Parts: sequence; C-alpha cells; structure tokens
Amino acid sequence: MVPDDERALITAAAGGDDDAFAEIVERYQKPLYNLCYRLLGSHGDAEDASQETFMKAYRALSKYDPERPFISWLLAIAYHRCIDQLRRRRLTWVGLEALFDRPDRRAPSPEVAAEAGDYAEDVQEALSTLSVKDRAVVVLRYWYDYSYDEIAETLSLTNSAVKSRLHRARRELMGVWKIDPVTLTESQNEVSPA
Amino acid sequence: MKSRLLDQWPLDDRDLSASDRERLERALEHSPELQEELGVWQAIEASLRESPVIGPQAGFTRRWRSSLAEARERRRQRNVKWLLGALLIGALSALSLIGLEILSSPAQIGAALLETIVRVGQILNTGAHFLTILGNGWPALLGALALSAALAWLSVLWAAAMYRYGFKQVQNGVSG
Repeated sequence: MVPDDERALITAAAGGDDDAFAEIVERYQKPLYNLCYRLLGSHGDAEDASQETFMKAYRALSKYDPERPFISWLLAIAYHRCIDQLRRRRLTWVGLEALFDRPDRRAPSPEVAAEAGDYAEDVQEALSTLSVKDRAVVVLRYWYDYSYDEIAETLSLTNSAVKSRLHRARRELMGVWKIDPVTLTESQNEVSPA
Repeated sequence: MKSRLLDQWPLDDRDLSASDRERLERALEHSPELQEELGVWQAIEASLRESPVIGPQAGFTRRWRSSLAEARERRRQRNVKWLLGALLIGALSALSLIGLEILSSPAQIGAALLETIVRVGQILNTGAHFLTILGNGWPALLGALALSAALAWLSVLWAAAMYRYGFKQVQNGVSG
C-alpha cells in the first residue's frame, strides 16, 4: 500500500507539478540507480537508464496503479529500460567512447567510489557472470529484500521462474565468487555444530 | 560446480519449513562437506547483503529537471514543425483542389465553392493576362485586388482556427 504522503506526491505530479515529481526523484534515485548499476555495470549507463526511467515514469504516471508499491513500479520500468539498453549495446559494435578510451564523465565522485571500494567491484564482477534476468532477481532478493511474489510482480515472471532463476544464480555465484577467507571462517564457525 | 547443498536444499531461511530446517541441521551434523558448502554460501550471501547500495553522483535531481526541460523543448519544436507542415500541406492541398476543380468541371461543385472557383479562375485569368489587365485600366485590377483580399481574409480565418484549435491545444498538451 502506498503511504499517504507518497500518494499525495504522485497525485500532484500526475497533475503536472514538477516539484512533486522532483521530490519523488529525490526519494527513489538511490535504489533505482543501484538496480541500473548492478544490471548494466557502468556508472554512465546507470545514470542514463535511471534518468530515462524517471522521465518515462513521469509521462506514465496516469497508468500507475496505486494498489501497487510505487518503488516496485519504478524498479519494473528501470529493469525493462536496462534490458533495452543491453539489447542495444549488443547491437553496437564499437562505441566511440571505447574507441578513444575517454574517461566516464558521469563516474561517481571520489567519495562514492571510496565508499563502494574494491569490495563492490568483486560483487559486481561476480554479478556480471549472471544473465541479466538472474542478476535482477539476485539484486531484488538480496539488496531490496523482496519476497518471491514481489520479485515476480516486478520482473513480470512467475513465482516458480523466480525460484529457479535464484537457484541457478546461487549455483553460478558459488562457482565464481572469490571468498574472503576471514568471512568464510566466520561463516563456517557459525555453521559448524557446537 | 556440483553442489549437494544447492541440489537438496533451498538456501534462504524464508524458504525452509520447520521440518526442512530440522532435516538440514541433521544432515549438516553428519556431513563436513555440506557444512563447508553452507559456509561458502553464507559468506556469499553476507557479502551480497552487505554490499552498499550505490547511488548516483550529487545533483541527480537537478540533472533530471534539465533533462525534462530539454525534452519538453524538443517536443514543442517537433509539434510546431508538425503543425506548420500540416498547415502548409493543407494550404497546398486546398489550392490544388481548387485548381483541379477549376480546370475540370466547375459547374458541378457547390454554389459557394463555385463562386470562389470562378473568382479564383478570374484571378488565374487575370494573372495570365496581368500585363494586359494593367494596360486595360484600374477597374479590372481593383476586382482582382478585392478577390485577393477576400481570399487572404479566408486564409487568416483558417490560420486563426488552426492556431486556436490546433497549436494552442498542442501547446497545452506539452505544458501539461
């Protein structure tokens, strides 16, 4: 269910109030950007995809069903936007940016990069081995703590498809993940019967 | 990687029923291999859950606002181009239609159109013999000028209607 203040913002934005939608952008930019970044793997692409997602959401506000959580609706748009972007990327042979090896102008600030650190790169590297749909399932499950039903609704999948994708993703992650020995020892100590 | 654990157990706490959990615990007690695998998975799961939510660079909302303004401007320009194009095509079509009617069978068209066409025909005729008309004196030229003024007035009315019901609506649609 959508909270009252959020509902008021959505109603105002649907009536053409840019400031109300700007407030929505302010609230949800981080989870939306994170999903795009996890699916696309680059800050430039994540910025484009999340900006376009908000643009599309703004135009499609009249189609939003208030019975559905607003963030799920936004994440669903972002997911489909990312799929389109990856499809287009596959069709592009060599981008000019890659040709001239230009730095990404929209890379995160040093503070953000430091916060994320090498650790995040490892996570991203492991995620990038998964198919984009499996990746989306993992992100929604472990970053957003979504239930199977919520994942299924957001990604337009069946509940059993979510389970099987998650199962496959776990299997693949176990195959590629570089485990930090300290974390592993801690986990095994927790698992071992006393 | 062949995984006994993954093949036999759902790994999320939320997925395990009480009886499954009990069975898993019993299996773990007797299988160091399974314990190791679960340890690996739990380490991965912890890494995933602890991995930060990456946010955009500062100024994201400002950038969204300027993207919105740019998109609106592009849309407005595109709509104006379409409107002008439609106006031009409409004008050319109307003139062509009138021209064709004049050339083929002016007697079969409606009275109002007939009058227009006859007058347009007069203009064409006048245009064809412009120099002659000028030579014949001002009354013929005055008639042609009056007809031109009437046509111009009709065009103004048409353009005003297009502006009122076309352009204005489009503009309202864009700003809305």
